[in-house]
Amino acid sequence: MKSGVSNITSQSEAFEKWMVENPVKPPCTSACPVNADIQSFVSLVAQGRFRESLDAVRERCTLPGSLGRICHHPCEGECRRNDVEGAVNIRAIKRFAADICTDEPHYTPVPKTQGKRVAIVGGGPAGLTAAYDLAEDGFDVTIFEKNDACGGAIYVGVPKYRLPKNIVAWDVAAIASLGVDIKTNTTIGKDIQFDDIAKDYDAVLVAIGLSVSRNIPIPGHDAEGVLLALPFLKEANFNDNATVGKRVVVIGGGNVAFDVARSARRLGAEEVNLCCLECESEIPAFSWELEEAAEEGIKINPSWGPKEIKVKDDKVTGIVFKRCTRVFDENRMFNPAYDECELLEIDADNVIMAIGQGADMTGFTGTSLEVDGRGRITWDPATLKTNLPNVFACGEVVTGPGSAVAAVRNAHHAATAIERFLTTGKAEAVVMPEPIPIGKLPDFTIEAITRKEKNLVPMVEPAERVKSFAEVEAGFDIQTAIYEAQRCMNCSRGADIIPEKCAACLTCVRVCPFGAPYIAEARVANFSWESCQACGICAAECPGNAIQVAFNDDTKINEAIDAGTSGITVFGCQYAVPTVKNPASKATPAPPGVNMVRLMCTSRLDIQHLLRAIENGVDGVAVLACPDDKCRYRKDINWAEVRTERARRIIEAAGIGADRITFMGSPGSPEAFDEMMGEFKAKLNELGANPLSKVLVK
Amino acid sequence: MIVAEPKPVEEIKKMLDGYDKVLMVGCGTCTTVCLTGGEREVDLMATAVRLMHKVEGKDIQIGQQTILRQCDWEYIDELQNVEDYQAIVSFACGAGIQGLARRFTNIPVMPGVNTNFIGFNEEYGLYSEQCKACGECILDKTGGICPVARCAKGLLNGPCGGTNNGKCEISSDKDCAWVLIYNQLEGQGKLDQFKQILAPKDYGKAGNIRMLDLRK
Ligand SMILES: Cc1cc2nc3c(=O)[nH]c(=O)nc-3n(C[C@H](O)[C@H](O)[C@H](O)COP(=O)(O)OP(=O)(O)OC[C@H]3O[C@@H](n4cnc5c(N)ncnc54)[C@H](O)[C@@H]3O)c2cc1C
Ligand code: SF4
Ligand code: SF4
Ligand code: SF4
Repeated sequence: MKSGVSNITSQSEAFEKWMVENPVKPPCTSACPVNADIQSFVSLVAQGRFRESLDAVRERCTLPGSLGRICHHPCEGECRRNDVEGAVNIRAIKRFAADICTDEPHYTPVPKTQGKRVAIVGGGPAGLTAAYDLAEDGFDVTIFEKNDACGGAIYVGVPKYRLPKNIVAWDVAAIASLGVDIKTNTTIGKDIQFDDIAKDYDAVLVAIGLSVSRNIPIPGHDAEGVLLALPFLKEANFNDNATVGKRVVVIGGGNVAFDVARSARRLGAEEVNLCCLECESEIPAFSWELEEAAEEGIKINPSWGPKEIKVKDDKVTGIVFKRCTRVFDENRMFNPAYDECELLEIDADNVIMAIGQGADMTGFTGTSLEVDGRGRITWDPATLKTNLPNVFACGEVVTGPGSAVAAVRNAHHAATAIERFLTTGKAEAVVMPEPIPIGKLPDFTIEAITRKEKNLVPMVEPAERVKSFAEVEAGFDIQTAIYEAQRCMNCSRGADIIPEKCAACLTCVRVCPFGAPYIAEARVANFSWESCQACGICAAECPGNAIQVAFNDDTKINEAIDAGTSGITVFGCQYAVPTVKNPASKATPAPPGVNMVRLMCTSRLDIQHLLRAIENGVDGVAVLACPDDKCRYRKDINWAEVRTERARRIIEAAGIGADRITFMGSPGSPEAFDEMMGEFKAKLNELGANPLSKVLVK
Repeated sequence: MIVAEPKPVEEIKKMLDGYDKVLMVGCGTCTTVCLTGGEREVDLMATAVRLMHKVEGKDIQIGQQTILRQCDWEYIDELQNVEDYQAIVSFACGAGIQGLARRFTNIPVMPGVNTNFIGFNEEYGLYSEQCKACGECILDKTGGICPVARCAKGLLNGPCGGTNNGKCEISSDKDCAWVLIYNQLEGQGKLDQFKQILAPKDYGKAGNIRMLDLRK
């Protein structure tokens, strides 16, 4: 998309089509709340096609720079590489795609072909995502945001040591560039009335998130020095002169509490105690938050409930906790129980409450939008509708607290609902197809997979970290990102059988290094997608032409071959030729006169491919193969070399000259590649023109 | 299975001299399995021949069809528009090639492969001859190993003096069939069989113009 012709297919239609056409997806995509096409964007990074990767990320993960830093990445937990030597570092690759393209121009505005206007209240991850989808679909979208910038909780709440604010701004700018009108410092209910926009716009989306922190009504809760999480984090993020007392107690065990505690450390607190109701194993924050907080000297005190805040002269002096013996009752309801005999008193200059957030509904009371006594919008999670026919809601204000990417998922659904409502007049339940994850790697396949150790993201040392709000996590450099991306196994994009052509000859069974093919009951070959690594060896050997490889099918390969009609056509492993001369470039850089045909592995190369290039009239054909120890696929035969040899014999017999086809090792760098091509060209000049074209490109 | 090998493309090209509309026919059974005459090889040979013609500045139209077997009338009759072609190249074994020649009597049929033997698929791309189709099988007496096909001299009572530490005198990488037979029978505790002299075979049964009528 992002082509200006996106009204041909809506974002949701495109997504649905992709899901339905091939419902079997890798487990990373299945685990991802927005079902991002992970292997595609990872593979583009692996090929050095960074800008294309970024655009692919953004289709579902609408805030690549931000989500590339703070997403809790459930994808990695399910990555099949976990069973080999460690998950692909998907989040870091996504972040890399964003970071390497920061100086690239964003998009051109999408023409507003739908002639309908949508108002979005709230520019958090949910509102921004819906704006992205609806703008892509050709709607005229306006975001009303009460803060001075969009981003919502990830802008005001998430500390800048995890997510620098310029990154959020960059993500927002990309969405704005599609032609989304963003009105900041505009509070609905104050600057503009809700009922007015509900009347003036064809559809309204309420995505106001949860922006007020809760307090606990214990004695002393309103004393000076008792702070609330969100205002505190906002201060820490935006007020360069913000301070905090030397001794801070944070109440809460979620991610927000850890952000508060770690921010307090950075503001100068020397003694930070985090106390929560949950016992150690139940602490809801992510495990890495616990680890990093501990490294920064934060003391974590599980199983304590606040009893009373000690106050002197209206100021906090400390806090008393009682032992919490359980958080949830037998019915798994939040129902803490305490043992008041066991107490803990901690001296403190500040107590910061980080026990949860609620919605700020002040701008909506008394309007036509129905809100119940507890401040919850009347909302149908299936249709994403409120009580009003043209008003929808999404994100945390209706789903309750969760992750940013969950809010993004919900917003994709809301955009779908609105797009359908505005184009058909109907507001029906949004049902999106769910992917079917392919199963685990069988042990014998794991054995056969070449090991490639995982790269961790470099982190600043704890002692250094606590000194400032500088970002704690560094991104990957180009080489590391490419290496890491090349670890992806392209799960579920492998071989498929055309049964009527199969002779049950067993060739595929014998040549596959991973044990994927087997002769099925009907005496035709079948392929276990659990095992298949999509190398394509079998497809180029099958004597009946009965195998297709989803990732590298002949139609696509032939198209790429036919792009070359003169000069040199190069066949290479898609990862073999370094293409990082112009990192953010969309184009695939190749020296002039060189047509690149990228294969999953040169083992996919068919003799026919080589002859096709020659028949197209190119002067020469080069096959670039990775050295055996670099090849991702273990193989007993150097297939590409054997096939190149046969093609050479054929063209020699035809009087075209064997030396027009050459088998080379892969170049280590773009410069080496240029040099190799230069030498080959010189040789071709000696040979003269390909008799099939009669024109030589000097 | 019948094993065949591809003919050099130069040879095929030569057979087709003077024709400019040719049909190449693959066989979906034995020659597909031995990687010599299936759809892939037909594709490749068609491309190669076309290239050779182009280089000479000549035009040739090559049709390609692959049927399940060329040794059955019913499958042969699945071929389409055969009459449109001036010549046919068959990528089946000799039986199939002749099947086409018998069906399309007014069109020259050329062999696209050399048919080699009745063999066993040892592993990917590797085949070994196992049977001479002698018409009088003696495998019950030789431990399931055929000396007619696998002894260089076809001896019925071996080994000969050329046996050499389990290998044949003709080549150190060829097993001596009679040593294999000995070992097999020994393993089965049936060395007494080895000592029995086999009577000369009726080579008439392996003679030419054989027919088999199971209906009688
Ligand atoms: C401190 C903190 C840390 C977090 N860390 C992570 C993390 O590491 N990883 C992760 O995945 N998630 C994290 N989250 C959760 C994540 O930020 C939320 O899931 C996400 O922001 C929810 O998106 P939303 O759009 O629904 O709401 P919000 O982000 O809350 O956005 C709502 C927007 O609406 C605006 N708004 C509200 N009322 C009005 C009005 N009347 N008129 C106009 N505008 C209005 C608000 O200003 C805000 O910009 C964190 C949240 C917090 C608070
Ligand atoms: S290896 Fe690649 S495609 Fe497979 S689960 Fe991991 S990231 Fe996804
Ligand atoms: S190689 Fe091709 S013909 Fe042979 S069993 Fe596999 S799919 Fe079937
Ligand atoms: S594509 Fe490769 S891994 Fe998949 S079945 Fe074929 S040979 Fe095996």
